[in-house]
Amino acid sequence: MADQSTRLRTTSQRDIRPYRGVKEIQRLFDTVVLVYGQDEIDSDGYSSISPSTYLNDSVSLRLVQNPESDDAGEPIPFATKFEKLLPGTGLVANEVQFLVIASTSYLKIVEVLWRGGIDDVRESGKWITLPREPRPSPFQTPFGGCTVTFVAVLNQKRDAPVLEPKRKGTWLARSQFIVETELGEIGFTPIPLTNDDRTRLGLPMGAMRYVVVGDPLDPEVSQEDVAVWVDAELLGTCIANPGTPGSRSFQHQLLLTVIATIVTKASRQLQGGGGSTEISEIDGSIIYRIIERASGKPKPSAQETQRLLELIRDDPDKFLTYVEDWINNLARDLRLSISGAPS
Amino acid sequence: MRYPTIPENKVIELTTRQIGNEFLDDAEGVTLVGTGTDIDLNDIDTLSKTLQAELKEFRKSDSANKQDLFEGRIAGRIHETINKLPLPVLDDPGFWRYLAIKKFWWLVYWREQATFDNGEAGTFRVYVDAKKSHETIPLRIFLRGQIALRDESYELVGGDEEDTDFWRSHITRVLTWKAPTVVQTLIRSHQDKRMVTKVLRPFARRMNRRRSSLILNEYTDDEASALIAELRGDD
Repeated sequence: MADQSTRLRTTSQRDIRPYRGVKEIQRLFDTVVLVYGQDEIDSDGYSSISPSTYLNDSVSLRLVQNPESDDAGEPIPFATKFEKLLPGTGLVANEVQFLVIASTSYLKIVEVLWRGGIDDVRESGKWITLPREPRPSPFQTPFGGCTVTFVAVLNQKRDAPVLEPKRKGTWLARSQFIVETELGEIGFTPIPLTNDDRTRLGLPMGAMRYVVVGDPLDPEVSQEDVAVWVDAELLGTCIANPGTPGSRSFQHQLLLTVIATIVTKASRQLQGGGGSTEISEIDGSIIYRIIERASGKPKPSAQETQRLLELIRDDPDKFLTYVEDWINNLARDLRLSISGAPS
Repeated sequence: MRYPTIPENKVIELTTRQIGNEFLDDAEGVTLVGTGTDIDLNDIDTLSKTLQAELKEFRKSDSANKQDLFEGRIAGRIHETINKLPLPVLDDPGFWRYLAIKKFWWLVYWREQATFDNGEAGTFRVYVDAKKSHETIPLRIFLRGQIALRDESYELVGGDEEDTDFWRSHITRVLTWKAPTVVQTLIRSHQDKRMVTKVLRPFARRMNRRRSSLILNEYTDDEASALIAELRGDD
């Protein structure tokens, strides 16, 4: 089962497939899970993971999630179930190819990471492990994130009656996973804080973090108006050791500090009548983006965003618990950091 | 590895000062990211100087006002040089802001001079803020080179005709780039027999419809050619 931070996209976004038998196969693909390091993402879901995990950890697809079981009580393997459903489409097994494709939109890079027929899927068993060395390009892009697609396609052109696929590449069913990191999501770029900066900004010499935010409720103010200063040496150490539990905890805490500053400022403004409490009037503002992300849905309803905006006004500390909920592995990294256990 | 970036909150200020011809120190507004050895930017500096000299000549030519043309001509070299840097650096929008505002400002400004001179930050920022990779100028040219690269040749990058709109509207801004063989076949087909806008738009609609039901990544050259020919019809 996917962890709490994995979010499902609405099924209404699905394309309508004009072929017979593919709906059942799609249901099978809906059970596939992408496992990225220790994070699990459901089919058609997305997850935000730490930049370090994104850059370093292994990536696999888990194929056995079938609620059905055979006579011995064992789950029916993905390949077996697929073969059982395939005749419903009018195709035979050797006409189908399976692909795992990863792409990163920012740099327009796409790579086919795995390809095979039904026998290869059967041989893979419960797991399709994606290449780790050399690391696929789409797994080296923590700012841009990536999309991983597992798909079954017709592998050759064929003559076919209506309602059956005939063109090569026609997809029968697919699972898609969107993977992002904090870097791409909110995109606050820490600025090294030096002694000169401390003097200029009027900060004590021991200051480690300082956040300056423009009006968080103003749709014209974007994240560029958020300046996040972090002690230069501390930031350098963090960047040099991105994968340690301590570093990961620090990155998480930094994100929380920034968001807490924004939320607190927004709350004060809302309580003091310095900003609209109508969600439609703050659409596009920094706080709106945070609300969207905290809702856990790609497109939350107006009712839900309105509720969260009012929560920011009335109980900002409670709203921040939603933010903690969206940060993957926060509790785990804090525990490891405190106990000193290796990652 | 350490590399220069420009934080988002510096983009407008630095760009405005560049527009105003204020001298910017190399390090001004730049944040170094990472630790250890600095990445080597000498090749990029050399390339920038070479291309700047070429632009000077280009501006004296009959094609002087065909800015799209120049973009195509330099895309291969931009990609070849910048692509030597590690991928996580290229994935960082801050690095592209640095290239746009510091290293290739002469190109960025020339390419969209009217927009920059207008001084509206909301309009010009798209060319320097690296939020949309298909808009920010050095990055979109880099991507054009990347998509065209085939068998170590940049032949498909074009540069004989004004193709920037074709590239931006029909290759990099839409999802066509996701199928490399098909996209390269499309570019070649367009080079062989250009599609004017009124032909290109309905073609693009047909292409998008087809792409939504097909995964084109495993198409061979012949299969891609047949698909493009079918979608083009008699044009």
